[in-house]
Amino acid sequence: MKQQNDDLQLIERFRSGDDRAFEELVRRYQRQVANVIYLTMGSREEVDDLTQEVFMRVHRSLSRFERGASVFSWIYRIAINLCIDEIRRRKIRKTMSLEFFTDHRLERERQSKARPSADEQTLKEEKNQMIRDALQKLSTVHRQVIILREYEEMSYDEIAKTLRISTQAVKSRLFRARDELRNLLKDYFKERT
Amino acid sequence: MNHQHNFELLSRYADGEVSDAERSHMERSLAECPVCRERFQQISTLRAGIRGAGDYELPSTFTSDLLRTIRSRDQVFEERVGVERFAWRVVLALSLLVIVVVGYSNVSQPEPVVTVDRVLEAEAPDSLTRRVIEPQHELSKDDIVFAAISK
Repeated sequence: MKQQNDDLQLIERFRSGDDRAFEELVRRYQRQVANVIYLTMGSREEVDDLTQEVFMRVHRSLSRFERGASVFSWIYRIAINLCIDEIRRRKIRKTMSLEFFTDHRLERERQSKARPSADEQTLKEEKNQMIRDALQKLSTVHRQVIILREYEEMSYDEIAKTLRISTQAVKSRLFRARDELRNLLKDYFKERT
Repeated sequence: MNHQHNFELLSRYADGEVSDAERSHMERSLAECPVCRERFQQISTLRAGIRGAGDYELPSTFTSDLLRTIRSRDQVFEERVGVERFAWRVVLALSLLVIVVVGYSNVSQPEPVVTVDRVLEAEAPDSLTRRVIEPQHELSKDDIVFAAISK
């Protein structure tokens, strides 16, 4: 609640002409937004550009922001919609060019082979990559909901408001997403235990 | 025990989204059922894994780059708006000029007045038109039409 009030104060300051208020808002959310994009898209390429685009859209629409709404839900919604558009664009490109898929896959394989397995840091990165790969195999709706819950630690109500779905849909999507991930990450869990 | 039902509840329990009764039920299940305990552990592991996987660091210049991009975008926008505004003023000025020119030409070239003498100039001295129109000082449209028809 305090965060929400602080955010609203920043918006009021921005509306009265204080550009530093926007800068503060960016600093407050840039890391989280970048990681939502990173986890949703599954690759590092374009994260900087997409994050920049999110905040440019935020800047453009701040004057029209409705006071009753939650600032972070609004920013994440912009980020998620942008990711969905980008995923659609990539799918179109992928169907148009088989090279994209092959190159992308080859690059991933090359990267994973290039990693030395002994290093603890590398092992940790491999684990992280397993999670990101598994997230990529989920449907977009399941991916969104699990990222907002587990990475952003949003409540069911906040997720529902952000994605404009019912709380019941959040519950069932989360359950299904976890179930799918559990099946996809059997090796991951085995190594952990 | 219905495990399918418990797993759905377990998912909500792990998120703290349960009623008091559901919480008590779940705590009992966790104490009694090793499968439920394992699933609960998996949810916790997955949570930590997802949080760890979001390790992307933006470049330190991100904010300043963003603000610079926004400023240059605004500048381009203002320039474009300036050009558009100028174009509209030119269009408006030209429209006003056309209106003024057309109006002036209408005022400066009045339609020729049709006089009684002109209408009667080709009429015979005892014609019906002459008898009807000659006593009048001014001609109405009806008179002119009448003169034309009777010719």
